[in-house]
Amino acid sequence: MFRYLLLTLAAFAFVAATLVFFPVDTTEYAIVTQFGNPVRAITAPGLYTKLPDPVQSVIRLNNRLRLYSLPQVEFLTQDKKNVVVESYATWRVADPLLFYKSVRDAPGAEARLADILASELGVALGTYDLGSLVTVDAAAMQLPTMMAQVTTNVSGRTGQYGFAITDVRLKLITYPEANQASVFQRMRAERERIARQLRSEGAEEAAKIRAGAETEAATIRAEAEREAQTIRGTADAEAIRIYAEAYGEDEEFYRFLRTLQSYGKFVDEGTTLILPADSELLQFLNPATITGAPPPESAPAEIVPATNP
Amino acid sequence: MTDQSTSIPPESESPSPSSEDGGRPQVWPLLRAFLSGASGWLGDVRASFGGFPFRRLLIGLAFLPIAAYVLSGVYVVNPGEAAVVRRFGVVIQRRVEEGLHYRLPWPIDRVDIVNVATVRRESVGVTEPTGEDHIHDEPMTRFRALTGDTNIIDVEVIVQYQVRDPADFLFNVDFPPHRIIREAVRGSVTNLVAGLPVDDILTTERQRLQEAIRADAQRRLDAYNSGLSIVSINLQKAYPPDEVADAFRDVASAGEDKAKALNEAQGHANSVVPEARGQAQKILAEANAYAAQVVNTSQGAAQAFESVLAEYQTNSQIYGKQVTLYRYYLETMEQILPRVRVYVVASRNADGEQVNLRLIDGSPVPTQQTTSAGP
Repeated sequence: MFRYLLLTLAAFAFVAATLVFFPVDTTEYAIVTQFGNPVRAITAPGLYTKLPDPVQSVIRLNNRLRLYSLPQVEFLTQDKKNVVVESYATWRVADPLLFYKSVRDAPGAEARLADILASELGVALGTYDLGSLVTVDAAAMQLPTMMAQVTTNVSGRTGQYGFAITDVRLKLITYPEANQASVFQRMRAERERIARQLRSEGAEEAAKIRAGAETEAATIRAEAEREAQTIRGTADAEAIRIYAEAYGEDEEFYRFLRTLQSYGKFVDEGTTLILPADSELLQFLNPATITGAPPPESAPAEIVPATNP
Repeated sequence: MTDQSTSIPPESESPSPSSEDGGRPQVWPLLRAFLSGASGWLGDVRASFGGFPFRRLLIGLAFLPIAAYVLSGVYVVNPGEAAVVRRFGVVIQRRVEEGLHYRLPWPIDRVDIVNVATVRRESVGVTEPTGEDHIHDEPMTRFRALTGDTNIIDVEVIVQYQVRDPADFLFNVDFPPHRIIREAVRGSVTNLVAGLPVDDILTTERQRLQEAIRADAQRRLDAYNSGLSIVSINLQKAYPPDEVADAFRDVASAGEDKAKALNEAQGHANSVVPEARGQAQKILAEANAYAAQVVNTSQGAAQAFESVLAEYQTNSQIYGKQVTLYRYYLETMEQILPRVRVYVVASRNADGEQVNLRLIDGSPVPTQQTTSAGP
């Protein structure tokens, strides 16, 4: 009899344990409800107790970080440019009770998030020029600032629904499909300009290099020419000095010798020589001379270069 | 024990077939012998098990499930895996490395095993991805990013990632890893490309951009406590769309044209200048040769003159100047006169008039009388 009683007690205790004790996982928050009324929120994991069902029961909420992707939306920037934007947000339950009461579950939260995110993005983009979101100037770059601002604003507005936004990022910002053709046209024109510029720069620099080389070559030649002239001049001067030194020793003899040499050189087959019969050379042709008569005053031989003998 | 007891009957049975000798087998006596002997072998079984503690065995068997329950806490972590243990939902061991381990059995402890060695792959901007071990809920479209100078480029990125912290990966985030990887990388690409001019992305900054994307995306993943780590980012493609690709290619070939023009010019320069140097060398060499020739000639001439002069002076002291001079004169005339046409004229004709030399020249001069002689 005692044995049966013990068994029953054990079974009862087990059932009671499952009704009273409940674990809360690290991935979840728990809300204890009493007859459907939330009375307690548990945000730390562990083993907890409650009054047994059906008095109190437990609702579990996923507390992990979640990802929400906002589909493409088209906005106007401050400078009235159409841009298409895709974004994503990460969010998690911050206040389980509030969350449960206001949006109940994740799809409910994401429906609110979609509205808030789209409107905040629209507002933010409307206060910036496209040129400050997409720019090569690091100092003018406002995109991270804008997104930080959007994150803060969205998080502020979702607080009332019990969830927090940890990050909002743009994963795409571009022109709408309809504007892309004109963008491509602009890109093409820009490329053509750059290509032209490159080619003419090439021609210009090539001409510069060639001209520089020609100048250098001419300079090198001219310098060589100058030096050569100097060398020749020096040599000529040296020669003059040498000749002068040597011939100066007996000028008269030199004159005689050199004149005779000249005759040998310039008197050739084309020359007609007219000698007076009484010249010193021919004086002995006249028998009178041999007889002892002094030679007449002789005129130097006249030499006439003739073209046509 | 039971094996021993059952082995007895065959032993008692074995002699019976041997006792038979031909004819019909006698079944009944055999059965009777078995039954009569039954009391005997059952008694033996009882006797042999007499001291066996059946009661204890039963109690022992009752503990078997408990033992099995306790032993159910043993688990194995294979190489390349890591385990996380939770006790009533609280993480008590963040990372258990490979090997044989024990935890308290259900429902107290729970163990989750994650593959931390496998490098997973996610492609961004690739319309037909390959080598991925998962299926996306939304298929990837091409990824057109806007550069800092408002050009549009197509971007393709291959991301390789793995789980770094199993506990964070399991319990902190509630999205498939490939989804957050893709979103984080797209966010980083959009942010970084928006600050760079298209030419840098296509050329010089490409490598740095790739590294920057990796760092930025990893920062985000860390901020989300996702437990994921990017192993590598491959900027597979960052190129202008097909619509304008030819214009970009033309810029590239224009660059090559420029380089070619410069090379040609440089080549020309490289040939012209040395050529000029060569010419300069030649000019100088010629000048030097001329100088040497002039100086040497003059020296030679001077030397020759001095020798002649010395001899002349010596001789003129002995024989008089005129001898040598006249000899020179005659020798020269001997050399010259055979070459030329010589006319010998009287310096004056009979009338004492000057001779008109033009007649000798062959020009007709009328009325003039001349006396002439052949050579």
